[in-house]
Parts: sequence; C-alpha cells; structure tokens
Amino acid sequence: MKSQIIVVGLAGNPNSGKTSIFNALTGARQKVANWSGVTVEKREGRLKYKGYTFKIVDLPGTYSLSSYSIEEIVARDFIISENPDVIINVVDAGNLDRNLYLTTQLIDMRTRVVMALNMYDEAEVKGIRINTDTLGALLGMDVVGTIAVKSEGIDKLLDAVIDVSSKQSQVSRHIHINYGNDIESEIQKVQKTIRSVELIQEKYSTRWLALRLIEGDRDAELKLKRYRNFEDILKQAALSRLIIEKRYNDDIETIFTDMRYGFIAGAIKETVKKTAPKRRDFTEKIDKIVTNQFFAFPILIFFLWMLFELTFALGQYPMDLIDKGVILLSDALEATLPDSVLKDLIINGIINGLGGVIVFLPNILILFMGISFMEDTGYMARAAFIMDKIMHKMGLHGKSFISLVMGFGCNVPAIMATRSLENTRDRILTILVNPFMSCSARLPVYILFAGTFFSSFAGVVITSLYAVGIILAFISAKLFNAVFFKGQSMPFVMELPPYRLPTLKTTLLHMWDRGSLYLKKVAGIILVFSIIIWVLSSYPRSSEIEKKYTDQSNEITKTFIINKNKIIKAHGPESKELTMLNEENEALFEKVNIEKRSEEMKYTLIGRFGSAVYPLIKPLGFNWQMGISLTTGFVAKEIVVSTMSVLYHSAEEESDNGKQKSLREVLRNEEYGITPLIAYTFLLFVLMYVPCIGTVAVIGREAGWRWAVFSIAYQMILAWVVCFIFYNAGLLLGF
Amino acid sequence: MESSEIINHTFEDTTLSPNMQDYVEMIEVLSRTKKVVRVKDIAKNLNIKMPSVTSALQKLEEMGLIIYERYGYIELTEKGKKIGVNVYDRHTCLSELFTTVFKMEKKRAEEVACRVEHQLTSEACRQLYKFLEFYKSEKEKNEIWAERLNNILEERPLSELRQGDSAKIVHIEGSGPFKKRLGEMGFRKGELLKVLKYAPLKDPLELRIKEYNLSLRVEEAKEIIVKPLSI
Repeated sequence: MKSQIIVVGLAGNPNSGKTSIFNALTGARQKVANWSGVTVEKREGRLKYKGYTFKIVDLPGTYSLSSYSIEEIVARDFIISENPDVIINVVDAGNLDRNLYLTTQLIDMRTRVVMALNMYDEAEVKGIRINTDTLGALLGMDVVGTIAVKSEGIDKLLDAVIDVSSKQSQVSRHIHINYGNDIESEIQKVQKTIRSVELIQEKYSTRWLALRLIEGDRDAELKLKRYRNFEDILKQAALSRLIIEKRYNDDIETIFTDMRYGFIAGAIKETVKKTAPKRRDFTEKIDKIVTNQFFAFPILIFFLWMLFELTFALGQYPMDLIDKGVILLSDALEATLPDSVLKDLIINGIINGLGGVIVFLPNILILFMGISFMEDTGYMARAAFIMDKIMHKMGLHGKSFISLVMGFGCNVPAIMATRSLENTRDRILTILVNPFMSCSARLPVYILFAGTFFSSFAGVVITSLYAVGIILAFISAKLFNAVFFKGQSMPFVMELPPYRLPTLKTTLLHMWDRGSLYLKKVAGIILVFSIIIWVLSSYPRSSEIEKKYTDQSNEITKTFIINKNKIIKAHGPESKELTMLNEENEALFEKVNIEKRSEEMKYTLIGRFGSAVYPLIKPLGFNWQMGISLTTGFVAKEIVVSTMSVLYHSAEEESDNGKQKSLREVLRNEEYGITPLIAYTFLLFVLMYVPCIGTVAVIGREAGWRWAVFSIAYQMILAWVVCFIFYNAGLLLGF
Repeated sequence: MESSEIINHTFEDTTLSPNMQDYVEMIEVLSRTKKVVRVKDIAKNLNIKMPSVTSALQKLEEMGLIIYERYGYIELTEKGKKIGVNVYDRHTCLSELFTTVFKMEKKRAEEVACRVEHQLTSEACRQLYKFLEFYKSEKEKNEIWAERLNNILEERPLSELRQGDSAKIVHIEGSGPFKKRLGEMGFRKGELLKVLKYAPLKDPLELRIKEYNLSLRVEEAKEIIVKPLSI
C-alpha cells in the first residue's frame, strides 16, 4: 500500500555519525548513486518496520543549509522538492552547540523533524548531560538518544518517525525562531510580496524563502526567477536586508548567524548540564604523536606505504587468480565452441574485456577498506592536516595527497579515492592531475626502454620520469586552477574529529559500496571500450595475408617432412640431428607466425590508424612501430610492450633457447634508428599521453564526460609539445 | 621606576658602532649582576666566539672605554660606563614599551628592542619614555582611553597566537562565503577558542572552538581577529 511508505531524509553535520545511523537503519540494503547532474553521492536504503516501509535517503553531510556548496544545495533541494515525510536530524550529542545550527535551519524550513541525539554515551563521558524532553519541547520535535554503532535507540527513532508522519506525536509542532522585532517585521514584509504569487507559495515555505532572500541566498534568487513578479520580491528583500544591516550595523550573514546561535545558546542553557569529564580525551594523546613535529611524516609515510603495499602487493594474488580464471575460461570456450566470428568476439572481446574489468576489483576493495578505516578512525583528517601546506601550493587540498600517492599504483582506484574530498573543485583538480602519477602499468615500458638504452643509468632515467610526472602534475594543477577555477579558492575549514574505532561492519559496508559502485558504473564502460578497441584491433582481416602465410607454413612443413625423412634414413629416429631439425622447424614457424601477426596488425583499423598518425609523431623522432604501439597502449599502457614485440618480430622476454631475438636486442638494432634521445622522448610521451581506457572511464564517471574528453586532449597536446621541444633541443645539443 | 629617575635617563647618542655598543651594554649589564666581568661571560651572553670578543675588547680599550684588569677581568671606564648605561636604558625602555603597551611577546619584544636601540635618537627615546610612563600611570588609574588603547593593541590576528594560547574572538574580517562558513561553524564575536597546535610545516593550525577541533590555514586565520586571554 502506498500510504505505508514513509520517505525519510537523513540530515546532519559531517562526523555526526549520520552514516552510522544510515547503516544501522538499512544495513546492506542500500543503493549508491549520484544526485542528478552533480557528482555528489546519493545513498538510499529501505527497511520494513511495524508494517511500514521506510525509504531512507542519506543527504550529504553539511554544517548548514545555505547555498555555500553544492552539497548544501542538494540537501536543501531534496527537502523542498521531494517532500520527505520526515527528516531525521542526526546530532552529535557531544557537540550540541554547533550541530544545532543545522537544526535551526530545518526549523526555518518548516520540515517535520525527529532528532537523533547520537553518541550520547560519548557525551556522558565528556560530562555532558542533556535533558532530551526539555530539548524536544523547546525545539518542537521528538528527540531520541541513539548510539548508532551499537544500534541503540534505532527502534525508538523509527517509532518517533511513525508518530510524526502519522501526526500522532505529542511533541512535534511548528515553532518559529524569533529573530527579534526588527527582523521579524522585515520578514513579514517580504513574505507579503511572496504571497502575491501563489505558485511559489505552493512550493516553498514563505517564511523560509523570505529568510533566504533577505540573507542574499544566490541559489534561492536564481530559483525564484521562474516566477512572475520575482523582481518585486527581490527588491523588497534587498531593501529589508539594507534596513536590518543598518539597524544592527553589521553584515547580514553575521546578524543571522548571531541570532541563530543566540537561540541555540538559550536552548542549551535550559537543557544541558555540564560536569567534570569522566576521563581525559585520548584524542589529544594520539594527536601528540601523530601530528608531532618529528614523527608526523614518518608515520604518514608508513601508513601510506602500508596502504600501497596492501592494495597493490596483496591485491596481486587475487589479480593473478582472476587472470588464471580468465585464461581457463577462454581455453575451455576455445575448445568447445565452433570457430566463428562470434566465438572470437566472446573469447577475445568479451571475456578478455571482462577480465580487464574485474582485475581492478581487488585493488579497489582493499584500497577502500584502508581508506574507509583511515577516514572512520579520523586519521585521514590528520593526514590532510599534515600535508595541506604542500598540497595547497599546488592549489590542491591536503586530502588530495592520498589519491595522488595511490595513483602510483593505478589511476583507476586512485581517482575513485577522490570521493573523500568534500569539495567539487578540489575533486576535479585532483582527478585531472592524477594521470601524471606514473602508474604501475607504465613501469614495464620504462624498464624496457631504460634498460635497453641507458643500461647503467636505467634507475636514474626511471626516477626522472616519476619526477617529471610530479612536476607536470604541479604545473597542470596551477594552470587548471588559474584557468578553470579562478577566484574559487576554498577555505580549509576542516573538522578534526575525535579518534574513534570503526566497527568492522562500517568498514566492510564502505568497501562493498565502492566495489559495487565500480562494478555498476565503471566496469560497464570499460567493457564497452575494451570491446570496441578489440574490434578495431582485430578487423578488418585479410584473406590474402591469411593465404600467404598458410602457403608459407605449408611450404615449411613440406620441406620439414622431406628433411625429416632424409635424416631418419641417414641417422635414425633418435638422432641429435633430428632434434636440431625439430627445433629449427619450430623457430621457423614462430618467425612466420610473428610476421603474420605483425602484418595482420598493420592491416587492422588500429594498425592503419597507428600508421596514419606516423607523420604526426615523426617530428618527435618516433618510427611507425612506435605509433602503432602507442595507439594500442590506450587500452592499457603495458600493452605498448607486447605490441612492440609483435611489430619488431621478437620475443617479449629474453628467450631461453636464443633462437628468437629478444625485444631489447632488436630495439638496439641500428636499422630502426632508435637513439637514446628518441628512447627518452618516447618514455616522456608514454608518461604524458592519453590516460588508459579504465582511467578515462572513471574520470568520466567521477568528474563528468566533458572533463574526460578534456583530459585526453590536454594530455595529448601536452605530450606532443613537451616531446617536440625535448627532442629538438636534444638534437641541437648533439645527442 | 621612580619618577625622579626620569631625569637620569638621558638616552644620549653615541658615535660608537652598534656592534661595539652591544659589547659595552653587555659589560654594563653583567657588572650589575656579577662581582666581576669575564671575557667568557660576555662571549656566552652575546653568543659570539671568544677570539672575536677579545679583539673587540682590545679596540674598546684603545678607545679608552674599558680597562683590562688582572685575571682577565673587565671594567668600564667612566666614559664607557656612561655609554653602557645609556644603551641599556634605551633597551629596557623599548622592550617595556613593546611588551606592556604594544602587547608583544617578551622574546619578540627583546629582539626588536635590540635592533632598534641603536638607531633611535636620544630625543625620540626620551619622548617614547615619557609616553610609556604616562600610559602606565593612566592605566593604573583605570583611565578609559588607556583601557581602550590596551584593548586595541591586544587584538591581533589568530595567526599570531602560539600553540596553547587561548583567545576570544573580536571580529572576523572579509566577507562572502568564508566569513559565512566560519559564522555557521560557530566563529562569532565573544566566542572562545584555543590554538592547539600548528602542523609540522607550520601551516595549517588546529584550534578548539565549541567543543570540537578544527583546522584552518594560517592565511585564513589572519582574517580572524582575537584578543588573547592572559592565563
């Protein structure tokens, strides 16, 4: 029955335990999505209780509901437009004063509120005793004490919600926060002009709207422009604002916050008793070590090293298993399915693509378990506190640091990690510079070229590439800041919450959250991309090439059989000569095979594209093989190496039998004309050019597709320009 | 200081180099607290190496400002004593002005006094001294203007507080979202806060306000004007 669904919005300050309440209410029955049009996370969950179905929407954690940030606008729009039956206002009992500020705004909005006075056990330890009945009576709302992590008080909370939504509550009533006669009369004036437009009245509480307009709320002004007479209303609001400012001789924001805090101070005076705390706060003790002048950085480096190791070293085991599984599956299919294009698509396109998708999953799960642990304990805020000075120089936020470090492992989970940044601008900047962190997939390319051309300086060369990446990130961040986010400098008012031990449940839920988000939102895109790239790299196929090499193979087999018979006749079937012939024959086949693959590759769309871009990369000193390799590297950067080995008709690794020349030897071959200068330029290009498919997909999801396209374009242009300058300067200097 | 002493403070100018003034001043200071002044003590207190001190003292002896006695004891001549007293008077006057009137921290006040003492003319010094004495006596009488001056000079940006300092918010400068956000988070006139610590790289800082901890960049803390609470 429809009447039994109760829509509840959860509102509260960051660190008020709102997420814990949400988890306690809904458990794992939650959906994560984005609020439409913005990259702010939206969580929804359902539960059944006493015959009612509750739809719980977790609103972004905010300190206020003015239009200071997107998060606040999102939370506010939900309350206004989606008309929730009840708002649960989660309040940290240990920090009632500041938490009640949001409550005053909820009161202004005339919403029906139930207050969850959370973590009241902690407050009692701090020596804070709150009379919930009096507080409820004063604020006109039910107040329920909860301890979310222990699921205490949750049933009572739901009972209160039912009472309020069915209008049975004894306590719930609409109250007004009295702003004093001067302001109240101005509010009434604005309300009167608003009432002249009926459509507005239907949607908004006139008192709330009047308040917002007097306070000069840009978002409210913008939304008003749809209605007729909006100019009159704005005029009246501006006039009222002026009158109030003049009367109080202060700016309007200060006057209103003062009034609200005045109201709060009154409420607290009547309801809160403070006694001496029962035990000393241990947060201070931990902080003495963790943010200590000398230990802070070693400790941070240790934690990050551990996070990095866990994510990428421990994650390697399940990743290997996934790899093996994919191979087993494709082998099985290879054996059972009849040869067809469909089979090819299934095995090489879909299965491989799927493998490429879930291979990131272990990384993501482990990384987010770690990050969630760091966030929930409160260490994340300290890490940001320690690093902010350096990151701020780049125009980034202290918290960006974690994401950037993770970028050295893989940019995909690293970009997802930017979710812990509250501010959209910080998040987008961090996402955009992340690809400059040399991920582990680029390392094989670095090792190959550095080892081949700079043997004894290989280490220096590789280190220099990492350094160049960091410098480019720095410069790019500054540039983006100046171009896209000019004058949007965000203040670093970051709460340092007390240290708390998170429950296993919260950590696992958080991890699951990210994992499922990745599978649902990113994986599909990567899969589609992978299939497209696979098609491009396998079609069209040429029957001529096929025939040419089948003929060659047949020829080889023919000669082989003749020679074989000769040898058997001369030396017998167990002879040394026969083994040699067998080996020779195998090598010959291998050679023909590679030549075939090489020619096929050149014939495919991607091969043609790679050859077509040759004129573009020629000024950088690159040859056509490099062009094709770079093109295929879009799938994943390590593929550059395997493509090269195909194109250069060589074995990827140093081969044991020595018949096949290794890629290193081939690259050194002078006929290809790769000098150390070209090699380094190529590595620079690999460092900078397009992020891989996975990264593009995740940028598109997290920052929006416009930014993903921008990221590709920016990195391509940057890579070309830097390499062009570097190569030509190198030539001039005689390298 | 007694009022009769005012006449004694002449703050006379000297042609001696600032460097030499420091030596003479130090000898004067040491002679007030110790029976004898040794080269060792001078070196230690001025944080200068012994050989440099010795060569400087030789110059001072040539100028007839000090006498090298037996056992390496040093004494000021009458001429030297006059300069020493003058320089030291300037120093005490200035450092007191900086601490009691300008509400600067003791150590910083001493540092600035050391730098300025050599540059001021005797006239400027005398006038500052008169101002200082007048202000002190007015303050003692709880004159309103002195109170108000005291209040204004006590106010300073939050960024100038040291670790562990408590303060009361006087007002918040600037406007727009930053000010609004701070207001919503409880920063308003009269609210108490305490600087808990600065980050290892000296920026940002952590403070406690309204039962919770918050970090702010130093650059932003400059916008918050506070009045430190004396403990």
